[in-house]
Amino acid sequence: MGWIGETVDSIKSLQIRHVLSQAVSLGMIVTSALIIWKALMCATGSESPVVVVLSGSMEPGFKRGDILFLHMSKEPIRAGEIVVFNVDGREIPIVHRVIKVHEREDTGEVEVLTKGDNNYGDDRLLYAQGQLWLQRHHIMGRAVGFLPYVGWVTIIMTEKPIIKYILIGALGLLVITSKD
Amino acid sequence: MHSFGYRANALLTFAVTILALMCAMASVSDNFNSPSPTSKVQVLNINWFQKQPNGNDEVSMTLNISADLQSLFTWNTKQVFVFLAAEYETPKNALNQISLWDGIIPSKEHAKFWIHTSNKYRFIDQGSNLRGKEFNLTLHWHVMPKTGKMFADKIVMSGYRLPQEYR
Amino acid sequence: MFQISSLPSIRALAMVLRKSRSLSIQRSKLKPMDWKGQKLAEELMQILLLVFAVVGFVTGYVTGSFQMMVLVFAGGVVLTTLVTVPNWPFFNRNPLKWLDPIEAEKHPKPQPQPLNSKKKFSKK
Repeated sequence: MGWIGETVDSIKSLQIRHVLSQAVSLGMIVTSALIIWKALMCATGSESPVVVVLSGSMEPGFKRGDILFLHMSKEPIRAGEIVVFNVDGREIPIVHRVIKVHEREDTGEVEVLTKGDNNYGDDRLLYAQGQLWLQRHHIMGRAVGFLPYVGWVTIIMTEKPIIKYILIGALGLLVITSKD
Repeated sequence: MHSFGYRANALLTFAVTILALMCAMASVSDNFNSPSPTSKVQVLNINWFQKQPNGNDEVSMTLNISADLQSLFTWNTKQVFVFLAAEYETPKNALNQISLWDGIIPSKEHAKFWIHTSNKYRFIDQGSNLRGKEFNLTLHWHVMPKTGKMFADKIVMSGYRLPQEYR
Repeated sequence: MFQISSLPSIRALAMVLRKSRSLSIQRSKLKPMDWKGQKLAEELMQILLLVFAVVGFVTGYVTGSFQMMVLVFAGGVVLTTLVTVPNWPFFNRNPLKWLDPIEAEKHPKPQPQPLNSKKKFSKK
Protein backbone atom coordinates (compact mmCIF):
# COMPACT_ATOMS: atom_id res chain seq x y z
CA MET A 1 0.00 0.00 0.00
CA GLY A 2 3.04 2.25 0.24
CA TRP A 3 2.92 3.33 -3.37
CA ILE A 4 -0.60 4.75 -2.99
CA GLY A 5 0.58 7.11 -0.29
CA GLU A 6 3.56 8.05 -2.40
CA THR A 7 1.35 8.80 -5.37
CA VAL A 8 -0.97 10.92 -3.28
CA ASP A 9 2.02 12.81 -1.98
CA SER A 10 3.39 13.35 -5.45
CA ILE A 11 0.04 14.62 -6.67
CA LYS A 12 -0.23 16.94 -3.69
CA SER A 13 3.24 18.33 -4.25
CA LEU A 14 2.44 18.70 -7.91
CA GLN A 15 -0.61 20.77 -7.13
CA ILE A 16 1.20 23.03 -4.70
CA ARG A 17 3.95 23.52 -7.20
CA HIS A 18 1.40 24.20 -9.90
CA VAL A 19 -0.45 26.75 -7.82
CA LEU A 20 2.82 28.39 -6.86
CA SER A 21 4.01 28.65 -10.43
CA GLN A 22 0.68 30.12 -11.46
CA ALA A 23 0.88 32.63 -8.63
CA VAL A 24 4.40 33.56 -9.70
CA SER A 25 3.33 34.04 -13.31
CA LEU A 26 0.40 36.17 -12.18
CA GLY A 27 2.81 38.24 -10.13
CA MET A 28 5.07 38.59 -13.13
CA ILE A 29 2.23 40.04 -15.18
CA VAL A 30 1.35 42.58 -12.48
CA THR A 31 4.94 43.62 -11.83
CA SER A 32 5.84 43.91 -15.50
CA ALA A 33 2.88 46.26 -15.96
CA LEU A 34 4.17 48.28 -13.02
CA ILE A 35 7.69 48.32 -14.48
CA ILE A 36 6.42 49.63 -17.80
CA TRP A 37 4.45 52.36 -16.06
CA LYS A 38 7.41 53.45 -13.93
CA ALA A 39 9.74 53.39 -16.93
CA LEU A 40 7.31 55.62 -18.80
CA MET A 41 7.29 57.98 -15.82
CA CYS A 42 11.09 58.18 -15.96
CA ALA A 43 11.22 58.60 -19.72
CA THR A 44 8.62 61.34 -19.94
CA GLY A 45 9.38 63.07 -16.68
CA SER A 46 5.69 63.34 -16.01
CA GLU A 47 3.90 62.16 -12.93
CA SER A 48 1.23 60.43 -14.99
CA PRO A 49 2.52 59.88 -18.55
CA VAL A 50 -0.81 58.71 -19.91
CA VAL A 51 -4.13 60.37 -19.13
CA VAL A 52 -7.68 59.68 -20.24
CA VAL A 53 -9.84 62.56 -21.41
CA LEU A 54 -12.94 62.71 -19.23
CA SER A 55 -14.78 65.78 -20.47
CA GLY A 56 -15.81 67.16 -23.82
CA SER A 57 -14.25 70.57 -23.28
CA MET A 58 -11.62 70.00 -25.99
CA GLU A 59 -13.96 68.62 -28.64
CA PRO A 60 -13.71 68.00 -31.49
CA GLY A 61 -9.97 67.53 -30.95
CA PHE A 62 -10.18 65.25 -27.95
CA LYS A 63 -13.31 63.35 -27.11
CA ARG A 64 -14.23 61.60 -23.90
CA GLY A 65 -12.40 58.29 -23.77
CA ASP A 66 -9.37 59.33 -25.80
CA ILE A 67 -5.88 58.81 -24.44
CA LEU A 68 -3.21 61.49 -24.28
CA PHE A 69 0.51 60.92 -23.88
CA LEU A 70 2.16 63.55 -21.77
CA HIS A 71 5.69 64.82 -21.71
CA MET A 72 7.22 67.08 -19.12
CA SER A 73 10.35 68.76 -20.40
CA LYS A 74 12.29 71.77 -19.21
CA GLU A 75 11.28 73.72 -22.29
CA PRO A 76 9.23 76.81 -21.55
CA ILE A 77 5.49 76.72 -22.01
CA ARG A 78 4.18 78.56 -25.02
CA ALA A 79 0.78 79.58 -26.27
CA GLY A 80 -1.08 76.92 -28.22
CA GLU A 81 0.27 73.98 -26.30
CA ILE A 82 -2.16 71.60 -24.68
CA VAL A 83 -1.25 71.22 -21.04
CA VAL A 84 -2.52 69.12 -18.18
CA PHE A 85 -2.81 71.08 -14.98
CA ASN A 86 -3.96 70.67 -11.43
CA VAL A 87 -5.89 73.46 -9.79
CA ASP A 88 -5.56 73.86 -6.02
CA GLY A 89 -8.58 72.32 -4.36
CA ARG A 90 -9.52 70.15 -7.32
CA GLU A 91 -8.64 66.51 -7.53
CA ILE A 92 -9.06 65.78 -11.20
CA PRO A 93 -6.48 67.31 -13.56
CA ILE A 94 -7.71 69.30 -16.54
CA VAL A 95 -6.47 69.16 -20.13
CA HIS A 96 -6.77 72.54 -21.86
CA ARG A 97 -4.96 74.77 -24.32
CA VAL A 98 -2.75 77.70 -23.34
CA ILE A 99 -3.98 80.96 -24.84
CA LYS A 100 -1.93 83.57 -22.98
CA VAL A 101 1.64 83.47 -21.71
CA HIS A 102 3.58 86.05 -19.72
CA GLU A 103 7.16 85.10 -19.00
CA ARG A 104 9.13 87.13 -16.46
CA GLU A 105 12.30 88.79 -17.61
CA ASP A 106 14.29 88.19 -14.39
CA THR A 107 13.12 84.88 -12.95
CA GLY A 108 11.79 83.12 -16.03
CA GLU A 109 8.60 82.35 -14.15
CA VAL A 110 5.60 81.95 -16.41
CA GLU A 111 2.01 82.92 -15.91
CA VAL A 112 -0.37 81.26 -18.32
CA LEU A 113 -4.07 81.32 -19.03
CA THR A 114 -5.84 78.29 -20.48
CA LYS A 115 -9.07 77.63 -22.29
CA GLY A 116 -10.87 74.55 -23.56
CA ASP A 117 -11.35 74.62 -27.33
CA ASN A 118 -15.01 73.82 -26.93
CA ASN A 119 -15.65 76.18 -24.03
CA TYR A 120 -17.00 79.64 -24.54
CA GLY A 121 -14.83 81.47 -22.05
CA ASP A 122 -11.38 81.03 -20.57
CA ASP A 123 -10.60 78.94 -17.51
CA ARG A 124 -10.53 81.62 -14.80
CA LEU A 125 -13.85 80.30 -13.51
CA LEU A 126 -12.28 76.86 -13.05
CA TYR A 127 -9.26 78.17 -11.18
CA ALA A 128 -9.21 78.60 -7.42
CA GLN A 129 -11.00 81.63 -6.02
CA GLY A 130 -9.22 84.79 -7.06
CA GLN A 131 -6.57 82.96 -9.09
CA LEU A 132 -5.89 84.72 -12.36
CA TRP A 133 -2.96 82.78 -13.78
CA LEU A 134 -1.51 79.27 -13.70
CA GLN A 135 2.08 78.95 -12.56
CA ARG A 136 4.62 76.40 -13.63
CA HIS A 137 4.01 74.16 -10.62
CA HIS A 138 0.36 73.70 -11.52
CA ILE A 139 1.28 72.12 -14.83
CA MET A 140 1.82 68.36 -14.90
CA GLY A 141 2.80 67.98 -18.51
CA ARG A 142 2.01 68.79 -22.10
CA ALA A 143 0.19 66.53 -24.50
CA VAL A 144 2.40 65.23 -27.30
CA GLY A 145 0.53 62.21 -28.66
CA PHE A 146 -2.96 60.95 -29.02
CA LEU A 147 -4.81 57.65 -29.27
CA PRO A 148 -8.58 57.50 -29.76
CA TYR A 149 -11.16 55.40 -27.86
CA VAL A 150 -8.73 53.25 -25.84
CA GLY A 151 -9.51 55.16 -22.64
CA TRP A 152 -13.09 53.93 -22.61
CA VAL A 153 -11.85 50.80 -20.89
CA THR A 154 -10.76 52.75 -17.83
CA ILE A 155 -13.82 55.01 -17.89
CA ILE A 156 -16.15 52.02 -17.87
CA MET A 157 -14.14 50.37 -15.13
CA THR A 158 -14.15 53.39 -12.85
CA GLU A 159 -17.82 54.09 -13.40
CA LYS A 160 -19.02 50.50 -13.21
CA PRO A 161 -16.75 48.83 -10.63
CA ILE A 162 -18.67 45.54 -10.89
CA ILE A 163 -17.34 45.02 -14.39
CA LYS A 164 -13.83 45.57 -13.08
CA TYR A 165 -14.20 42.90 -10.40
CA ILE A 166 -15.78 40.45 -12.83
CA LEU A 167 -12.95 41.02 -15.28
CA ILE A 168 -10.20 40.69 -12.68
CA GLY A 169 -11.85 37.58 -11.27
CA ALA A 170 -12.21 35.98 -14.70
CA LEU A 171 -8.61 36.78 -15.59
CA GLY A 172 -7.32 35.43 -12.31
CA LEU A 173 -9.36 32.28 -12.72
CA LEU A 174 -8.05 31.83 -16.25
CA VAL A 175 -4.44 32.23 -15.18
CA ILE A 176 -4.78 29.86 -12.23
CA THR A 177 -6.70 27.14 -14.08
CA SER A 178 -4.76 27.28 -17.34
CA LYS A 179 -2.56 24.23 -17.87
CA ASP A 180 0.45 25.45 -19.73
CA MET B 1 -4.56 23.81 -25.47
CA HIS B 2 -5.19 24.57 -29.09
CA SER B 3 -8.87 25.16 -28.53
CA PHE B 4 -11.39 27.55 -30.02
CA GLY B 5 -10.85 30.14 -27.32
CA TYR B 6 -7.09 29.90 -27.51
CA ARG B 7 -7.09 30.55 -31.23
CA ALA B 8 -9.58 33.40 -30.95
CA ASN B 9 -7.43 34.95 -28.25
CA ALA B 10 -4.24 34.57 -30.28
CA LEU B 11 -5.93 36.09 -33.31
CA LEU B 12 -7.29 39.04 -31.37
CA THR B 13 -3.94 39.74 -29.72
CA PHE B 14 -2.13 39.61 -33.03
CA ALA B 15 -4.76 41.75 -34.75
CA VAL B 16 -4.61 44.45 -32.08
CA THR B 17 -0.81 44.45 -32.17
CA ILE B 18 -0.86 44.91 -35.92
CA LEU B 19 -3.49 47.64 -35.67
CA ALA B 20 -1.31 49.52 -33.17
CA LEU B 21 1.62 49.11 -35.55
CA MET B 22 -0.44 50.44 -38.46
CA CYS B 23 -1.45 53.49 -36.43
CA ALA B 24 2.17 54.09 -35.49
CA MET B 25 3.17 53.85 -39.15
CA ALA B 26 0.40 56.25 -40.13
CA SER B 27 1.74 58.68 -37.55
CA VAL B 28 5.28 58.24 -38.90
CA SER B 29 4.07 58.84 -42.46
CA ASP B 30 3.04 62.36 -41.39
CA ASN B 31 6.73 63.23 -41.18
CA PHE B 32 7.06 62.92 -44.96
CA ASN B 33 4.67 65.80 -45.42
CA SER B 34 6.52 69.09 -45.69
CA PRO B 35 3.87 71.78 -45.48
CA SER B 36 4.19 75.24 -46.97
CA PRO B 37 1.39 77.32 -45.47
CA THR B 38 1.01 81.00 -46.15
CA SER B 39 -0.77 83.72 -44.25
CA LYS B 40 -1.36 87.45 -44.25
CA VAL B 41 -2.76 89.58 -41.46
CA GLN B 42 -3.78 93.23 -41.51
CA VAL B 43 -4.71 95.40 -38.58
CA LEU B 44 -7.59 97.35 -40.07
CA ASN B 45 -8.52 99.51 -37.12
CA ILE B 46 -7.77 100.16 -33.46
CA ASN B 47 -11.30 100.22 -32.04
CA TRP B 48 -10.31 101.55 -28.69
CA PHE B 49 -7.21 101.72 -26.54
CA GLN B 50 -7.30 102.55 -22.87
CA LYS B 51 -5.87 102.07 -19.45
CA GLN B 52 -7.98 99.98 -17.10
CA PRO B 53 -8.62 101.29 -13.56
CA ASN B 54 -6.15 98.64 -12.25
CA GLY B 55 -3.38 100.06 -14.42
CA ASN B 56 -3.25 97.53 -17.23
CA ASP B 57 -3.45 98.63 -20.83
CA GLU B 58 -6.17 97.11 -22.97
CA VAL B 59 -6.64 97.42 -26.69
CA SER B 60 -9.33 96.28 -29.08
CA MET B 61 -8.61 95.97 -32.78
CA THR B 62 -10.15 94.79 -35.99
CA LEU B 63 -8.16 92.23 -37.94
CA ASN B 64 -8.25 90.80 -41.39
CA ILE B 65 -6.70 87.33 -41.42
CA SER B 66 -6.17 85.28 -44.53
CA ALA B 67 -4.32 82.00 -44.66
CA ASP B 68 -3.84 78.91 -46.76
CA LEU B 69 -3.20 75.88 -44.60
CA GLN B 70 -4.22 73.18 -47.07
CA SER B 71 -0.77 71.64 -47.22
CA LEU B 72 -0.95 70.78 -43.51
CA PHE B 73 -3.61 68.16 -44.09
CA THR B 74 -2.59 64.54 -44.55
CA TRP B 75 -4.63 61.37 -44.38
CA ASN B 76 -3.93 61.13 -40.66
CA THR B 77 -5.14 64.63 -39.81
CA LYS B 78 -8.29 65.01 -37.76
CA GLN B 79 -8.28 68.75 -37.49
CA VAL B 80 -6.02 71.77 -37.44
CA PHE B 81 -6.31 74.25 -34.62
CA VAL B 82 -5.17 77.67 -35.75
CA PHE B 83 -4.73 80.81 -33.72
CA LEU B 84 -3.29 84.28 -34.05
CA ALA B 85 -1.23 85.58 -31.15
CA ALA B 86 0.24 88.99 -30.46
CA GLU B 87 3.79 88.62 -29.16
CA TYR B 88 5.86 91.40 -27.62
CA GLU B 89 8.45 92.17 -24.99
CA THR B 90 8.10 94.47 -22.03
CA PRO B 91 10.66 95.50 -19.40
CA LYS B 92 8.94 93.17 -16.91
CA ASN B 93 8.27 90.21 -19.19
CA ALA B 94 10.69 88.64 -21.63
CA LEU B 95 7.78 87.27 -23.60
CA ASN B 96 4.10 88.01 -23.73
CA GLN B 97 1.88 85.89 -25.92
CA ILE B 98 -1.74 86.85 -26.17
CA SER B 99 -4.10 84.89 -28.29
CA LEU B 100 -6.37 87.22 -30.25
CA TRP B 101 -8.33 84.84 -32.41
CA ASP B 102 -8.55 81.10 -32.89
CA GLY B 103 -10.43 78.60 -34.99
CA ILE B 104 -10.75 74.93 -35.74
CA ILE B 105 -10.36 73.76 -39.30
CA PRO B 106 -12.10 70.42 -39.68
CA SER B 107 -11.01 69.52 -43.20
CA LYS B 108 -8.84 70.44 -46.12
CA GLU B 109 -11.73 72.14 -47.93
CA HIS B 110 -11.94 74.74 -45.19
CA ALA B 111 -8.20 75.29 -44.89
CA LYS B 112 -8.06 78.28 -47.25
CA PHE B 113 -9.92 81.09 -45.57
CA TRP B 114 -10.07 84.73 -44.78
CA ILE B 115 -11.84 86.30 -41.87
CA HIS B 116 -12.66 89.81 -40.81
CA THR B 117 -12.93 90.00 -37.05
CA SER B 118 -12.28 91.98 -33.93
CA ASN B 119 -10.12 90.26 -31.36
CA LYS B 120 -11.93 87.32 -29.76
CA TYR B 121 -9.91 87.36 -26.53
CA ARG B 122 -9.08 90.52 -24.64
CA PHE B 123 -5.71 92.03 -25.42
CA ILE B 124 -4.59 93.10 -21.96
CA ASP B 125 -1.01 93.76 -20.95
CA GLN B 126 0.41 93.04 -17.51
CA GLY B 127 1.13 96.67 -16.79
CA SER B 128 1.03 99.78 -18.90
CA ASN B 129 3.50 99.22 -21.70
CA LEU B 130 1.37 99.14 -24.82
CA ARG B 131 1.60 102.75 -26.02
CA GLY B 132 3.72 102.84 -29.15
CA LYS B 133 4.62 99.17 -28.59
CA GLU B 134 5.92 97.24 -31.54
CA PHE B 135 4.58 93.68 -31.69
CA ASN B 136 4.56 90.58 -33.84
CA LEU B 137 1.47 88.83 -35.00
CA THR B 138 2.14 85.10 -35.15
CA LEU B 139 -0.11 82.57 -36.79
CA HIS B 140 0.29 79.30 -34.92
CA TRP B 141 -1.19 75.99 -35.95
CA HIS B 142 -1.56 72.76 -34.08
CA VAL B 143 -2.18 69.67 -36.17
CA MET B 144 -4.22 67.05 -34.35
CA PRO B 145 -3.80 63.59 -35.85
CA LYS B 146 -6.28 60.75 -35.89
CA THR B 147 -3.65 58.80 -33.98
CA GLY B 148 -0.11 59.54 -32.96
CA LYS B 149 2.07 62.57 -32.63
CA MET B 150 0.78 66.13 -32.72
CA PHE B 151 2.55 68.77 -34.77
CA ALA B 152 2.78 72.49 -34.22
CA ASP B 153 4.45 75.32 -36.08
CA LYS B 154 3.99 79.02 -36.79
CA ILE B 155 4.49 81.94 -39.13
CA VAL B 156 5.79 85.13 -37.56
CA MET B 157 4.66 88.42 -39.08
CA SER B 158 6.45 91.40 -37.65
CA GLY B 159 6.27 95.15 -37.96
CA TYR B 160 3.00 96.02 -36.26
CA ARG B 161 2.83 98.99 -33.93
CA LEU B 162 0.25 100.27 -31.49
CA PRO B 163 -0.63 103.99 -31.43
CA GLN B 164 1.19 106.40 -29.11
CA GLU B 165 -1.95 107.72 -27.45
CA TYR B 166 -5.01 106.14 -25.84
CA ARG B 167 -8.18 106.53 -27.81
CA MET C 1 -14.81 14.97 -50.42
CA PHE C 2 -16.17 16.56 -47.30
CA GLN C 3 -17.45 13.27 -45.94
CA ILE C 4 -14.26 11.44 -46.68
CA SER C 5 -12.11 13.97 -44.96
CA SER C 6 -14.40 14.50 -42.01
CA LEU C 7 -15.00 10.86 -41.28
CA PRO C 8 -11.53 10.08 -39.93
CA SER C 9 -11.65 13.15 -37.76
CA ILE C 10 -14.81 11.95 -36.07
CA ARG C 11 -13.27 8.53 -35.58
CA ALA C 12 -10.19 10.11 -34.15
CA LEU C 13 -12.31 12.23 -31.86
CA ALA C 14 -14.20 9.21 -30.60
CA MET C 15 -10.98 7.38 -29.86
CA VAL C 16 -9.59 10.42 -28.28
CA LEU C 17 -12.57 10.63 -25.95
CA ARG C 18 -12.18 7.03 -24.96
CA LYS C 19 -8.50 7.57 -24.37
CA SER C 20 -9.11 10.64 -22.32
CA ARG C 21 -11.08 8.65 -19.80
CA SER C 22 -8.21 6.30 -19.18
CA LEU C 23 -5.30 8.71 -19.46
CA SER C 24 -6.08 12.15 -18.10
CA ILE C 25 -2.51 13.36 -18.56
CA GLN C 26 -2.93 13.47 -22.28
CA ARG C 27 -6.21 15.34 -22.14
CA SER C 28 -4.67 18.57 -23.30
CA LYS C 29 -3.65 17.15 -26.63
CA LEU C 30 -7.04 15.86 -27.50
CA LYS C 31 -8.64 18.45 -29.72
CA PRO C 32 -10.22 18.10 -33.11
CA MET C 33 -7.50 20.01 -34.92
CA ASP C 34 -4.48 17.82 -35.61
CA TRP C 35 -0.90 18.95 -35.16
CA LYS C 36 -0.31 19.97 -38.75
CA GLY C 37 -3.70 21.64 -38.78
CA GLN C 38 -2.78 23.70 -35.75
CA LYS C 39 0.43 24.83 -37.34
CA LEU C 40 -1.39 25.61 -40.56
CA ALA C 41 -4.09 27.59 -38.73
CA GLU C 42 -1.51 29.61 -36.83
CA GLU C 43 0.53 30.41 -39.92
CA LEU C 44 -2.56 31.15 -41.97
CA MET C 45 -3.80 33.53 -39.27
CA GLN C 46 -0.54 35.47 -39.16
CA ILE C 47 -0.09 35.61 -42.92
CA LEU C 48 -3.69 36.65 -43.60
CA LEU C 49 -3.61 39.40 -40.98
CA LEU C 50 -0.29 40.74 -42.20
CA VAL C 51 -1.47 40.75 -45.82
CA PHE C 52 -4.65 42.58 -44.90
CA ALA C 53 -2.65 45.06 -42.81
CA VAL C 54 -0.36 45.86 -45.73
CA VAL C 55 -3.25 46.06 -48.21
CA GLY C 56 -5.23 48.25 -45.81
CA PHE C 57 -2.31 50.58 -45.17
CA VAL C 58 -1.54 50.99 -48.86
CA THR C 59 -5.17 51.58 -49.88
CA GLY C 60 -5.62 53.98 -46.99
CA TYR C 61 -2.49 55.90 -47.86
CA VAL C 62 -3.27 56.04 -51.58
CA THR C 63 -6.90 57.07 -51.15
CA GLY C 64 -5.88 59.42 -48.33
CA SER C 65 -8.46 57.94 -46.02
CA PHE C 66 -7.65 56.64 -42.56
CA GLN C 67 -11.11 55.15 -42.30
CA MET C 68 -10.48 53.04 -45.41
CA MET C 69 -7.42 51.51 -43.78
CA VAL C 70 -9.32 50.59 -40.63
CA LEU C 71 -12.24 49.18 -42.62
CA VAL C 72 -10.05 46.99 -44.82
CA PHE C 73 -8.21 45.68 -41.79
CA ALA C 74 -11.45 45.06 -39.87
CA GLY C 75 -12.76 43.07 -42.83
CA GLY C 76 -9.52 41.12 -42.85
CA VAL C 77 -9.84 40.30 -39.16
CA VAL C 78 -13.39 39.01 -39.64
CA LEU C 79 -12.36 36.87 -42.60
CA THR C 80 -9.33 35.51 -40.77
CA THR C 81 -11.51 34.66 -37.78
CA LEU C 82 -13.90 32.74 -40.01
CA VAL C 83 -11.08 30.88 -41.72
CA THR C 84 -8.78 29.98 -38.84
CA VAL C 85 -10.81 29.84 -35.61
CA PRO C 86 -13.46 27.13 -36.24
CA ASN C 87 -12.38 23.50 -36.47
CA TRP C 88 -12.74 23.14 -40.19
CA PRO C 89 -12.18 19.60 -41.51
CA PHE C 90 -9.58 21.25 -43.66
CA PHE C 91 -7.34 21.40 -40.57
CA ASN C 92 -7.66 17.72 -39.83
CA ARG C 93 -6.13 16.04 -42.83
CA ASN C 94 -3.38 14.38 -40.80
CA PRO C 95 -5.20 12.92 -37.80
CA LEU C 96 -3.12 11.20 -35.19
CA LYS C 97 -3.19 7.45 -35.56
CA TRP C 98 -4.06 6.20 -32.11
CA LEU C 99 -3.72 2.54 -31.35
CA ASP C 100 -6.98 0.74 -31.66
CA PRO C 101 -8.33 0.29 -28.12
CA ILE C 102 -8.97 -3.37 -28.80
CA GLU C 103 -5.36 -3.67 -29.87
CA ALA C 104 -4.24 -2.00 -26.67
CA GLU C 105 -6.37 -4.24 -24.50
CA LYS C 106 -4.74 -7.28 -26.02
CA HIS C 107 -1.40 -6.25 -24.60
CA PRO C 108 -2.19 -4.88 -21.13
CA LYS C 109 0.70 -3.21 -19.45
CA PRO C 110 1.66 -4.23 -15.93
CA GLN C 111 -0.19 -2.05 -13.40
CA PRO C 112 2.62 -0.41 -11.41
CA GLN C 113 4.49 0.59 -14.54
CA PRO C 114 2.59 3.81 -15.49
CA LEU C 115 2.41 4.91 -11.86
CA ASN C 116 6.16 4.68 -11.49
CA SER C 117 6.73 6.64 -14.64
CA LYS C 118 4.21 9.20 -13.49
CA LYS C 119 6.00 9.67 -10.20
CA LYS C 120 9.30 10.20 -11.94
CA PHE C 121 7.63 12.78 -14.08
CA SER C 122 6.32 14.76 -11.17
CA LYS C 123 9.57 14.67 -9.24
CA LYS C 124 11.50 16.12 -12.12
